[in-house]
Amino acid sequence: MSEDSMLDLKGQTSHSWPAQEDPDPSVSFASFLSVLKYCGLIILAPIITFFGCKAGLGVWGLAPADHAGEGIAANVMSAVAAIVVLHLALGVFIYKAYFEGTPAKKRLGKQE
Amino acid sequence: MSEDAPIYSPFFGVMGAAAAMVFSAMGAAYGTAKSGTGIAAMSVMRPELIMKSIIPVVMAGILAIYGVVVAVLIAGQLKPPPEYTLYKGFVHLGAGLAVGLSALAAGYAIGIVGDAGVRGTAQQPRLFVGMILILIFAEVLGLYGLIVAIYLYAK
Repeated sequence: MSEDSMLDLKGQTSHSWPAQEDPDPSVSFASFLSVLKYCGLIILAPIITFFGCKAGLGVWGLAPADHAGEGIAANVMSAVAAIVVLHLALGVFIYKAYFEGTPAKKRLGKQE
Repeated sequence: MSEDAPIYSPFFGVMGAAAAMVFSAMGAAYGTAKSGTGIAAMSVMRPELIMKSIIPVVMAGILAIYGVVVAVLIAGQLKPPPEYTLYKGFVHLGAGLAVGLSALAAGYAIGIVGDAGVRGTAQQPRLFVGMILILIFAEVLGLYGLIVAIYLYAK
């Protein structure tokens, strides 16, 4: 796909938004670090929570006993905790994304 | 080998774990790829919206985590046939299919919504809140499957 066809996907031409080099590499690097931080949090936090809770509940005996004694209750509690942590991290990311777009847009407008 | 625990009874549990992972990964892959094309096209014009436009990709990735959680839960219960009954195998197969196919459907929805949503958000920023709401409703489809899978697993 050529650059022109990508620019014309939704009726906008290259005249209104010309292709340009990144005006400030530090801004894009900061954006990259921010996205990397939240994506790492969203991927790693639930996995760490799941296995951490599984190990912790098994060692400390905090999970209620189940019939078969196979740790099903501890596993279910760990899974629920992991999903809760996952959605909390997603909520933080959406909150950050919602309030981050406006200053960046203003900053870009001032440079132009 | 008793009639309740034949030699092939773990097969169903293994298929349940595999189905949970494979189908949810398919949904996550489709959601990521489809919304990724929209992000690529949109970012040419509005590079400052990258943070907002990554959200569909993150939500598609979460579907794969649902599959991982259920697959790990099922895999932790697999045992050789005398202990692992056919009933357990059926239950685990059902749990894996529940989360896997739900995540596949959710990923399909997230991909289509994300693709159109990020392109639309580039032209009309007010669409962002609507896009997030629609994405959450699509994501919840996968969460329903996860809840049913965990409920089945705990049987």
